[in-house]
Amino acid sequence: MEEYDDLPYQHSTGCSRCNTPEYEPGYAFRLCKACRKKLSRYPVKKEIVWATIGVGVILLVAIFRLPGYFQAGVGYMKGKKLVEEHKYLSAEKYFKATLKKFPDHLGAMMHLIKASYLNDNEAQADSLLALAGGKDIPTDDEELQAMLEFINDHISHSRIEDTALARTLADLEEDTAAYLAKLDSYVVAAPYDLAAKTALAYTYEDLQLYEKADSLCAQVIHNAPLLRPAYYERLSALRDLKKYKEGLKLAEDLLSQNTESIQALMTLTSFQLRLNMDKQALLTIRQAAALAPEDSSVLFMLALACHYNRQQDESHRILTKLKNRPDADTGSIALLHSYITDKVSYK
Amino acid sequence: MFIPGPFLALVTFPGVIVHEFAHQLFCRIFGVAIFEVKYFQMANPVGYVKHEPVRNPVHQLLIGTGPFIINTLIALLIAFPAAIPVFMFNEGTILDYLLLYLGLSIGMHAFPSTGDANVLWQTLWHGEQVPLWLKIITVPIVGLIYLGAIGSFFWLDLIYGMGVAFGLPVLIVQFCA
Repeated sequence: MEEYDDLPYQHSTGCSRCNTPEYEPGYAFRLCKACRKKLSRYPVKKEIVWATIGVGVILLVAIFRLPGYFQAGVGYMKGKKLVEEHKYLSAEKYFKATLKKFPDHLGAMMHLIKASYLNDNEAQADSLLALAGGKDIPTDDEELQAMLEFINDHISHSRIEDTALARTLADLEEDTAAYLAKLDSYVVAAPYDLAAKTALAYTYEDLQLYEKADSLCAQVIHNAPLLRPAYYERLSALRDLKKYKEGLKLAEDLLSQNTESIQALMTLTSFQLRLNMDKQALLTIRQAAALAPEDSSVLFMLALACHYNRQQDESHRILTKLKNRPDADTGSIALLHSYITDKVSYK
Repeated sequence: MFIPGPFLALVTFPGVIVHEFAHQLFCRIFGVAIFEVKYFQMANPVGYVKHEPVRNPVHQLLIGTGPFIINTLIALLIAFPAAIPVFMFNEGTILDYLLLYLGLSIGMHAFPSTGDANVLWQTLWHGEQVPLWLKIITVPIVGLIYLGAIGSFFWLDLIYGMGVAFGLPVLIVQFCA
């Protein structure tokens, strides 16, 4: 509060403080220039000066640590913004950087688990989930709770609920007929188990029962619109059924969940090529190549898209690059060579 | 819950000191004679600065509203380096919590008091040779100060302090992202 009632020295003819006859004009209060200056510099109490110095020292320590926290905070927020834009591959890099500095940061951990899942890296999602398992999620943190729900849903839909059956199925892997019979009867008895339905769809696909695989996956996707393995399985079935337009639409749906999904971009490219949308296919796979420039599968599809867009030089340059890799996959290189030399048609 | 002003001021006394210091600082900047400064007392008012009437009415406006500017800036400066580790990374040390307490208490006392508003009103609205534009902007400023005073019954000062010390640092980080 500031006030100027009951002020001292109010009835002097000269400077109210030192009685000098000269005083500064224009003020209600008569003071000479020197006295006014001196009074305006009213001393600050020593205790307050010392307290300020103390706070200043603490502040300096805090400011010294600030750049690390600030950088990590900005990175974490950038990751969250990218999540809102469904750009999970870029977001994943920021969350990893945050966790490198703050390994116990629950928000970054949960975001990274979700991003790993949406980047189709289930192995990473599972190992992170094992790490996060023992941590308590604050019940009043709605954002973390929503992510926990998403992650739990994903787990429940990714693993067959009946663990005994899952073990039996693992033992029956070599005996396709027995495996199919067991899984089929379980799905009838437990239609809510989406992981079992997806596993059954895989079996149908292996047995070239594409219609069955397609319809089963369509049911799963209807019930769990973010269950990505079911999408990929259905996309395989649609490709084998030559239902390319449906496949294109489904691949676009999958991509809308994560606009930076390399696998979804490659799948979309393959449907675009099959529908002779060659220019769009090249644009799509270039997006993937910008995100994962050294990924062999992406380079494979890029070479293919270049070939269909009459960019033979680039196509052959990519083939050479793939051949020269120490871990070159000779089978896929031979296949790519057949495609880009028109010995075999991809479409 | 009603807590008498002086007791609340006691808990948040650093804010009162900075509030009075802000008045004092602007007096010093404008060369206005100060006769007495009480940084804190357990009475009403909990602090005050006695100074001479100003020659330039604009100086009065800045002396009166100085705490709003200075308390807000200092609260943000002090709380910022502590708010990020505490609110974004759950890694606060005791020093961080001390800084947050200081930031909160300083931010809480950013609003000019009704006493400040009275001086502003007397000097700027009723004063002679005060330009019309200054009279016009005085009205909403004094109005806001009174609204703030009414709002303090509903902990508006606490909410403001929390916003500056706890919320604003996180918003700044979000803005930089």
